[in-house]
Amino acid sequence: MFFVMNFVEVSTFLSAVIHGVVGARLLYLAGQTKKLPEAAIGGALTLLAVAKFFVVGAHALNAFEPVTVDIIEKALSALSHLLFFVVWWQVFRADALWAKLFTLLAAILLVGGFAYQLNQGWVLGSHAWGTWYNQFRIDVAVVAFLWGAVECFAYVGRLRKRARIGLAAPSMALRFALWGTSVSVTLIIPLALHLQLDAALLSSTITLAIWPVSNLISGLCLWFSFLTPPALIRFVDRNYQMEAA
Amino acid sequence: MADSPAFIVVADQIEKFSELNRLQARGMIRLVLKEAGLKADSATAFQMMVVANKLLEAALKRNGMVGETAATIRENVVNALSTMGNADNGQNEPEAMFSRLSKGG
Repeated sequence: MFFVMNFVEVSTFLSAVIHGVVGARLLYLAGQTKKLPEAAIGGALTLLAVAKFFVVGAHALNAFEPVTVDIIEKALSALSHLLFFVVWWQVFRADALWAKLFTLLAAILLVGGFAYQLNQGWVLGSHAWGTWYNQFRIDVAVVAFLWGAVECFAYVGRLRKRARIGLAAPSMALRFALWGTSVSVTLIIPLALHLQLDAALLSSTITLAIWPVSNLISGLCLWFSFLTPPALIRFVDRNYQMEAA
Repeated sequence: MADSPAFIVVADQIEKFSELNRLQARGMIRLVLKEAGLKADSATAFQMMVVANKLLEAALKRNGMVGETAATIRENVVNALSTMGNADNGQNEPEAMFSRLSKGG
């Protein structure tokens, strides 16, 4: 158990580093291009990294009350999840009214839920999920990541078709596939928590083992999606073209 | 959502130089765009040009248009698209952000 706990913390730290580096790179790009998509993704990833660093740091230093750590971490995560709604809306459905309304609804639910829980009193360990808001915001996050995964993989399908007639680089389809995989793997954690806490189908040890593995796979896919090595791009584009020829 | 100007131009040319009515011409182009992984509301002139060069002939053939009719339609589609320029160069496509990232912005 001791080893598993350490592995969780190490993987959380590594995942935070990856999210932080990719997020910072995208925010730097947004500073130059003044475009909302990179600003939203950069912001979401950076906030997620800050939340993870904060949790790991707070536990290591034991500097804050557990309730304070929980409130700050949940606030940062909720803001990050809200930005992910903005990402899917802006990247894939910028002109769709339903996506705009859906994002607005997520904002109301996340902010309203957080304010409600804060008003009710933030108590740790009142039931299996901790606070009521903890379960609620994870469910909203599941919706956010599910939406993202569906959009990414649907777009991979379109890019593959475009690549056949030279309208897209094959490596672009790979990058969206990696992004979709990263988002999909992130979904495993809340699903494992549901199976453990609501259905008692998983032991806490298994959940603690799934957590770091998902963190690492998701982080690696994210890195290779956004900071793809040029050599990999050239390799994929060349091989796909040879295959087509 | 409204169809893109390039889509409308192509559909109009097909309608004008074939026996297909507006609905049929647009339906045919929508199927070709689906095959190409594109959408009627966001297809740019450049994308439509590539589609016209690579997929249109087969689509026309499937709809019974071969020989001189098909050649006339294709020629008029390409000419009409050429006059559109490339004002909308796909900067709002999802992959545009990755392209900006790769260019080292």
